[in-house]
Amino acid sequence: MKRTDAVIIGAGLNGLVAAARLATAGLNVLVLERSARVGGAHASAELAPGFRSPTIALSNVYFPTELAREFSLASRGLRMVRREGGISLFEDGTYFAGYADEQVMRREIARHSRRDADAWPRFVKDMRFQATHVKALLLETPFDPSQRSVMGVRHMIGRARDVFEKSPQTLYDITRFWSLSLNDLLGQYFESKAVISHIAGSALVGHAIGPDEPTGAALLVPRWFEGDEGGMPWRQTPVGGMQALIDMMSDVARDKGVEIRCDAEVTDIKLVKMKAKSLLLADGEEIEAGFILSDLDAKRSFLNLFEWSSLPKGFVADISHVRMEGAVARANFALKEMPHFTHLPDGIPALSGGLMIGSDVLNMARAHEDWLDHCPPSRPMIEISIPTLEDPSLAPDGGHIFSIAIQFVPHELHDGVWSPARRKALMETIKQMITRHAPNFGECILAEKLRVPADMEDEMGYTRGDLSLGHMSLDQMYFNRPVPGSSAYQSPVKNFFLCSASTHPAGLALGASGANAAAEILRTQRSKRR
Amino acid sequence: MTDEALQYDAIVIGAGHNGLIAASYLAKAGRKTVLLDSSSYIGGAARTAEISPDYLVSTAAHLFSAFPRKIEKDLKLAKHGLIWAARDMPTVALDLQGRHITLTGKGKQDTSVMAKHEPRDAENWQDFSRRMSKFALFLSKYLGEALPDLGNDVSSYEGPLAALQLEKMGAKDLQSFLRFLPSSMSSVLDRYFEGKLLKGALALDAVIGHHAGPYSPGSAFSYIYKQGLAKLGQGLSYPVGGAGAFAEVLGEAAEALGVRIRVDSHVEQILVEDGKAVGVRLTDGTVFHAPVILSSVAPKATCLELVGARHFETDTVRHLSRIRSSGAAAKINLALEGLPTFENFTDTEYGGRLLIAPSVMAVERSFIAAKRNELPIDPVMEMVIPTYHDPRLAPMGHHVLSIMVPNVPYDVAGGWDERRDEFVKKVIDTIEMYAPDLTAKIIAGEMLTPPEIESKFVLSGGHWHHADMSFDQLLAFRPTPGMANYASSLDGLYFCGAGCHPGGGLTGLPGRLAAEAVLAQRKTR
Amino acid sequence: MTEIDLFRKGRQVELERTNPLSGPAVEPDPAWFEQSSNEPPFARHVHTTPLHLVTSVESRTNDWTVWNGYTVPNVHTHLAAEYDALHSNAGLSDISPLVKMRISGKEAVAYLDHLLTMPVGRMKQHDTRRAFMCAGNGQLVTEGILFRLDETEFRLITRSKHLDWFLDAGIGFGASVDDISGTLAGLSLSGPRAPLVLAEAGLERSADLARGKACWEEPGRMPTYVSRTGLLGESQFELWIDPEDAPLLWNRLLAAGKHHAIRPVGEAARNVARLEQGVFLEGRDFASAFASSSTLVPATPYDLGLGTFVKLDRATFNGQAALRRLVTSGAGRAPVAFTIAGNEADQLGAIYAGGRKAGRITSHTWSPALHTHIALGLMDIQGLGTSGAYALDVLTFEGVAEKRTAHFAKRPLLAAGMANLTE
Repeated sequence: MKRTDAVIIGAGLNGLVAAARLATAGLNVLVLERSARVGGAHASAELAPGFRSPTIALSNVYFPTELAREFSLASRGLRMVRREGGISLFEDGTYFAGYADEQVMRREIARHSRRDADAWPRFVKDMRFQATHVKALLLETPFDPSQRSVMGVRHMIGRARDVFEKSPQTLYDITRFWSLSLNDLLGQYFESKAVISHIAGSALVGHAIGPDEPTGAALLVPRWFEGDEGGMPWRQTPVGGMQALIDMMSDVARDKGVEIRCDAEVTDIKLVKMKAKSLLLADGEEIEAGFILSDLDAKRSFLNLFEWSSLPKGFVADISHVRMEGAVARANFALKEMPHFTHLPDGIPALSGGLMIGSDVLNMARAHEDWLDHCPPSRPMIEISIPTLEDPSLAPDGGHIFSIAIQFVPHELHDGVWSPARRKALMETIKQMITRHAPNFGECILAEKLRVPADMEDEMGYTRGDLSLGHMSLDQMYFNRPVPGSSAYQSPVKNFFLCSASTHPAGLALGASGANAAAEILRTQRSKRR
Repeated sequence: MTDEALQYDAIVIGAGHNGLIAASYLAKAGRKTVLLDSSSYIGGAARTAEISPDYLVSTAAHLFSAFPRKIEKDLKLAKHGLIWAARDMPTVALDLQGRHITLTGKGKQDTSVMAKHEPRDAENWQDFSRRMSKFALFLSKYLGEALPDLGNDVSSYEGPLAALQLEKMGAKDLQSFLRFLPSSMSSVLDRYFEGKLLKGALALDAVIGHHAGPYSPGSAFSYIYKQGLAKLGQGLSYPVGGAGAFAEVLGEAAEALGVRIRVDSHVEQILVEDGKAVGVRLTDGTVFHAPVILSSVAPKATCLELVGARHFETDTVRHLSRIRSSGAAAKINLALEGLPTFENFTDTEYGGRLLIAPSVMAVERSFIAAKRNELPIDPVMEMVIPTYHDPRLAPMGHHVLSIMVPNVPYDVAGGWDERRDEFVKKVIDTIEMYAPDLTAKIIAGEMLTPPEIESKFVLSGGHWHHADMSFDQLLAFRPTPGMANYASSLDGLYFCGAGCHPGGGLTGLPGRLAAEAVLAQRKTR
Repeated sequence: MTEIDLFRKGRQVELERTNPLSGPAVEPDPAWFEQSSNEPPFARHVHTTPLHLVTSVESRTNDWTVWNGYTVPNVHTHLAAEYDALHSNAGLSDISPLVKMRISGKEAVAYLDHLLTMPVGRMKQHDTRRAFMCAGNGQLVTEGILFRLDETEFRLITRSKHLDWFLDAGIGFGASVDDISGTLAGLSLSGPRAPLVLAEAGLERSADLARGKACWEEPGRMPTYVSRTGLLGESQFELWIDPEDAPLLWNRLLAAGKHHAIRPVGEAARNVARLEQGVFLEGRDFASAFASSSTLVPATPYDLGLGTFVKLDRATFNGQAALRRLVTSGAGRAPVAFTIAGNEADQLGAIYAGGRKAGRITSHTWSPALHTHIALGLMDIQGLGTSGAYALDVLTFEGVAEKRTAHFAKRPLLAAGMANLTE
């Protein structure tokens, strides 16, 4: 039987980061990936001859510079491309765009409301304040108030005192920020519907939270981790897409001696006295491991790999009630040329930051309510990413790729399945929404592909098609992620750790869950030795 | 014009139950107090009126869940005629097949009920109710007393102490408490239960009176909060004579303590001199002077309309104008010539608080409809048959049915004039699914739309609690940070209504705590 | 506007410069200064003031700076020459990027009393006053100058724009607030010979204005509002005029000032002069309470030694409660000015009092008049009490980090310096 210090299930970014960290510390690490190649959802696929589109284009990504530095990714060629702003196109033909420069941003806002233009710096100030505090927590294991009693009490008192002594107003600001809905919080700064809708919309993309839902305002925070120009912060994506970042990380891991094995599906984990001992692969091989880390979501990790009866009572129930429910469908279009958007001025730079249609707050709220009720969206909110604007090599000359996030699309419909007719209808809706603003869109299409959440579950193994591996709502963040009592990446099963985005800090920072889980393992190892 | 007769130690605006209680406590401490109300009766939303001759009903508020015994004793309410017709009323979740769930709030009994109706949920019910009760008890410590004001005095804040209290809860419970705080009621219910009916009823309990649905994050906290308030009271109860009679008792108690109650006195302006509130002027021009003014009108309206925004700093005005008060309810009161027949009803059920909320989604859908200014397709509601406990409210053998429909839009699409009948029919049709002979027994009825509740009881936006009871508008943030200790930023002006801590409901706590704050902060007259 | 148009326009104005008192009016272009509502903001990154054409004619260095989003000259010809003009003769500058608000209505006075730290009080028509406004936490939102145009109309010139705050502060008042920044150009004329220049340009009444007063003039039939205000001291005048007329007025003043060695002066020289005056500036020394600055911190009026501009005991005004608490607690910072021994420094950092870190330098410059490096900073009140040696973190132009002794200086530094020289 093969024996190794640590096995990581799943070669996603988190898995690879964890592997590299553990290998750096001298552990013997094996990564097992079910599919034929690393990368999961981030892998690129050929949509039409010459069109390489990411299966899923993430618009909100933050890759901590600390990790890039730790693995010297810059010297391996990691370059980030900055994408400006983003645009919302509204029903009446008006638009709102984001700009990185403060003055340009204020001028843009002034087109909609001169008053709001002056409220912008105040908004930026408050967002930066919240973001600084959150950012400081990304690369550490969550503090669990219920775990360390004496330390915990001191910690809590300390935190509380810090906040109060700064300014009494601060606590109110923090409370509002973490408890209000996007719509309510933004309404405290802005009066223009266009401004509110755009900012709310771009925060919501990829999440299962509606603009009217309390605690949604916290979704604004990731955008402000970086960018100090005073305008709408840049969005950064790796040149070559997420695939490039994944490839680089797997190179790093391999160079550090990690073995990455593809086409290796783990079917079972054997326990001895609540201690993970070894893994069984689909081909019957058994591998013994000191530590097992799972880069799969919490449900697949615990509900698929273990016998339920072997887990503590209540834990299975907790895990199975983690809210994981896909809300986003993805459509990719290969276009022979850029369609002409009649209402947008030529050469608008914010286009590379994504184009939202149907992002009016009221419309988004309705789409979200339909999703709650398991209805197919009648008028969804869509965000079009156009990766070819920054990276023309992804398509043949002049061609473009539209990678569209469609919200909110339920995993399961209340009256049936996602039949071909239903899918076609959804695609028709999307096309109509775009054609309304770009009449020649239909003529440009060379190929198209739709993935509803159910497809993402089938193709890529995301439970219920939830790409965020558990809703990023406040009750499932920080010490509540994935479930209370297991937020320190560990689990009731000794030596079995979770390192996927099902743990803190979720999608707030790429690779951070993996890095933190590895750090936690090394800490337990050290304390054992002592 | 300091007419000697119009010079008081304290003026209380609004003779709702909180205003009455605040005035009584002040008078009890020897302050010369006048209580002014714009309408021609006292009690505010606590009122009993005729639906038609001889059929009396609590027009608006119809149940007491958290009225504290302390206030009852302090003000000697029993002496002035307060008699509870019913105490510890059970809650009944109505089932279409007659398999109703009747919960009394008594652990053992409820567990056996659960075992009978929803065997798969029985075990979890025990766990759930024990936890909720523990959380409620923890919270209730902070609900029955004034909270330190974050805005002004940092050093006094006991946040760190609260953290300590939390630690005492024990790891497991603390974990679920911290999980519940930001959760939606639906996700908590999904974790514990399977039975649709039970989940529906608990979901309605969580959001009734709030502008929220059970899927809204924070609704689990609303539930804990209400349970916490209930811990301070004496269970679901109903006074003889209805809410109006209760108000009369409070009025008599107040007058006995020396409060001068003046109805038909509409305060038009709170007078400010040199940055101090010094008196009020009525619409008829009468001026009352006092160094202390307590307003049980919603804080937003008090400050921005009665006082004027100019007397507050812009940050405060921003805070005040941000106060969200969007939830609204409708009330339907029916006079019946006999008890409607509900399947499988016993005495307990007829005397209980009846809930129609068949599922969590049904409650959520009614909220979604309200958000869209639409009428709910399947309304959810809370009903009481007060005549069952207090037969004198109606002629012999006849009854009244008091129905509260939460999550009703204030501005319904098409206007209330157009859609009123449709709505009443919808509600009655819904009840008929449970009690088929209801229509046959109706003699008369009345319906109060949210705009009517607003004008009749002077509640802005028809909101019973003056301000949504959401996390950022509760505890030390209610009504706004910096004003949480019942004192506004304007010297001499205090709040004593549902808009301040601990919020709405027939609890009397804002009134009592406000009076205590005034007495503590102004030792001399 | 095409490039050719720009060129043509530039030529036109240049032609006029030779004959400033006549000539065709410049065609108004609303997009020139005031933002038009349908212009996509990304389309034009250079935003110019109404005086841009005339200042660009004067620019020999092509050295520009951005102020409130507008491009204005940093140095026209030579920093030293411009500085000298301010000190010895007369300097003319473009101050159009300042924010101008119009406050009017029957309750304008009450509104301003609520907004500002000092009540309007007995301000008469054409009186001016330094104005400060605070947020609820006592920190300055912005500062500026208040003009009383008549009984019910005021103009407030501020350094940063806060229309949202102005509007919210107006809730419940019978007053209206308009942002008129785009409809008014501003010129600053400063230096000992400034009154003579004014007189020669046909603005005789303004030449005799007392400090802090303003008046209407009509040189060449161009209505101009002139005030003897500004941060550069006694002999500074500020002229407010329709954007269309502004280039003409500029040229007129330059022509009239020829005998007085007038010079166009850029922001760089003006900044040296205001440092010598010991004036703390929003955006350079402290941030507005609502600004999202990553380098500057906000300040209360007391931090800046502006206590005389705060009248606490009156009807509610913004910041009252917090400022009251500050007065009783006595906490806060104090503005300090230093002269620093040795050569010109590249950067200055922390202030040390008695060996302990006690504050931070906020801005500094070499003062040619004082022949020394001068600096303004904010210090903790406790640090202020320590007697004796102050030291500063200094980075020299050679890249050496060192601690240098600094000497406490009275503000304004220049007056103090002059006194020393004459002794």
